[in-house]
Amino acid sequence: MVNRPPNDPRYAPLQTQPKRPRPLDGEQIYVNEGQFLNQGHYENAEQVHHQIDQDLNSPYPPSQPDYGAVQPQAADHHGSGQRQSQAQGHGQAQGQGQAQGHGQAQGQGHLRQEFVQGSEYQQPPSDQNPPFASPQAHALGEQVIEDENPKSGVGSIATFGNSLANKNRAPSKLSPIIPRDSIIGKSILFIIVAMCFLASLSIVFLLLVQSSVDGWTSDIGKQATVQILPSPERDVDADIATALKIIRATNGIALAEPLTKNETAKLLEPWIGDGIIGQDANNNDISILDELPIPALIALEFIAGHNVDLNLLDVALKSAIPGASVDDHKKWLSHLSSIGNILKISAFAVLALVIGITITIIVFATDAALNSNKTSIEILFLVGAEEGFITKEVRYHFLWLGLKAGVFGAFICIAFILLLGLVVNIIYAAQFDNLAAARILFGQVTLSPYQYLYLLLVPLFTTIIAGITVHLSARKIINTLH
Amino acid sequence: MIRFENVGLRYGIGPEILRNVSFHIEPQSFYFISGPSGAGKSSLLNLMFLSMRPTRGLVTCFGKDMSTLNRNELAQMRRKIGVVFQDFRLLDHLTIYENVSLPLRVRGFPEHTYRQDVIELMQWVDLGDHMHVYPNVLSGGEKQRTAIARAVIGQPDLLLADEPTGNVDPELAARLLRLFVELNKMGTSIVIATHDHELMNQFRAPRLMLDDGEVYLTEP
Repeated sequence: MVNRPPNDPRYAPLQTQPKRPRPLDGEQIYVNEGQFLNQGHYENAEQVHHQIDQDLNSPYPPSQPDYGAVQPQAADHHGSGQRQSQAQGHGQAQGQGQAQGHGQAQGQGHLRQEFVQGSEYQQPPSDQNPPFASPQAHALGEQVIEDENPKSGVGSIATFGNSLANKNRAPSKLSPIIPRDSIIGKSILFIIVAMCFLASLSIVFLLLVQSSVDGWTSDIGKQATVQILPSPERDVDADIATALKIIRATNGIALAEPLTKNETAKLLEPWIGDGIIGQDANNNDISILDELPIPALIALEFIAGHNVDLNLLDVALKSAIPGASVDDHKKWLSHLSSIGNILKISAFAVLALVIGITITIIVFATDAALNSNKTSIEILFLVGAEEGFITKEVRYHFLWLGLKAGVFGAFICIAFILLLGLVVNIIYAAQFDNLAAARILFGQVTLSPYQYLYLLLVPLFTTIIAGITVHLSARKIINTLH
Repeated sequence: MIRFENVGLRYGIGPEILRNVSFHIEPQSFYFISGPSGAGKSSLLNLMFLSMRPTRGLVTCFGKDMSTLNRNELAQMRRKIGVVFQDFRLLDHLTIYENVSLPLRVRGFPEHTYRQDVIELMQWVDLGDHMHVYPNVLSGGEKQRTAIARAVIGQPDLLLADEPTGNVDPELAARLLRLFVELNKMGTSIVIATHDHELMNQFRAPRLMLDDGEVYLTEP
């Protein structure tokens, strides 16, 4: 229990004594708190409207013969006959004069006349009848045409809710509630497209690196070379023939082909230059290849899927031919694998980074775009839209935005890759004689059809991210409205 | 229709903007809400429009305690109340026709079911020739009438108008008042928040005067 000073105004009740408000126009009635101020103020609607009519009699211009200058126009339009008969019936029931011959224009009421003739408005004499001649409550939808002066063409507004043919044409297709082509929307579309392009490019980079590394390792892994060192005591050709016999007797060997002199010379060309084989003008052999201690080489290719025991082959060859050995490129393969793995990890890192940035930008861009439409959301809220309707509207809009941006980004990337592949092929064709070897060694910028399917992941993820973000952001805005 | 019982409202930990507010808006009634600037007119309208919850007290709307309603029920309840904002709150990227029909659109009605109603209502407020234009080309009075048409297109039981004549000349203000009176004759309860004494003097209706966060009823 807190002890409070008895006279401390800070702890006084909010209002213990009735307080009289500031005097305003007219006499004021004060009612104590807790009591309904206006309870029983009106007894019924009829009293209300009677009072309204009385009130309006003095300060407001009543309807008069020439006040509403709209002439009956609806004599020929659809439904006018029905309206007239109903109006007539109503008028008889109320005993308020005639309403025949009044069409829809009359039914639109004197208020409309006021707006139409705004600049020509003049205060009528105060002894005229008020515009609201009938004190009866008009239920919405009730067709009433009442006018004490048929010449005026002024009716009641109570035709609202009873559709009749109208010459004005409403738009056949409604605009989206959330604007789709706002400036900020276009900017965000551009940003998301750019990020999707980068994300697609990262995926392509990863796929190309993986393809190249796989190509290197698989091509080298399914080949081997048999080397026979030259010896003055031995016949090289006989040794090659012996080696071929042993090799072909081994399971899993698809091809065993000794390198010709020309092929060997080409291998040596980068180191000792050309001209090591050839003929002079008289067709005399002037090759120096035979004079060099160059080993004979036999290229082996394995049957795909067969695991060839190269150690056994090596032992067999060495036992038959001194100086023979099998080189299975393991050393190269190990180096290439290391380089390939580093490249793949790098590509993954780049992809992860770009995807992370893309997600962040999509989240921020979507949130910003949604906040730019906050007014629309507020108005939807104020006109009675349910939460589901609002989130559906914005979700649809931004899902479409995300999908569009993702597809654009992926297709731009595909076009870029196709173009790049074409340029690279042209360069390879100009620079290398052996195009296939160049493609294996330096890689190629082409994707297989199933690799292109990976790019479809970009619009899919963009759409999902945009959808989740916009849903959460819309909920956040709606929460603030509540 | 709407009943306030000892309602209080404060923002955060600030002082109470509204204190011990009690009144009852009956069906087919007409009220002005007035008071000096900052007296809490807009806050009171927001409470009546169910877009805010009171800090204390009981707000009963169409016989239901507001505090017991979930969000969708509040939205359903809000559809029975039309609001005309002082700043119109029209969507600039929608045509006048689309703005007016928005309350029906959010209720899921197909466009062909309300087209004629909207056209008739727009002609009633003399905007029949402006259906396909956008709000930014309208005058203040035309925007005001668009806002009124949007507020009444859903045939609300209660119409709240916040300073509906704040942006228009006295002549148009008088016409807008006649518009509200005519709506009232059709069965809609009208509550107009204004500090325009001239406007209030033109029509005898009870006034809910806000003073220092409290509400008093005065007779004109």
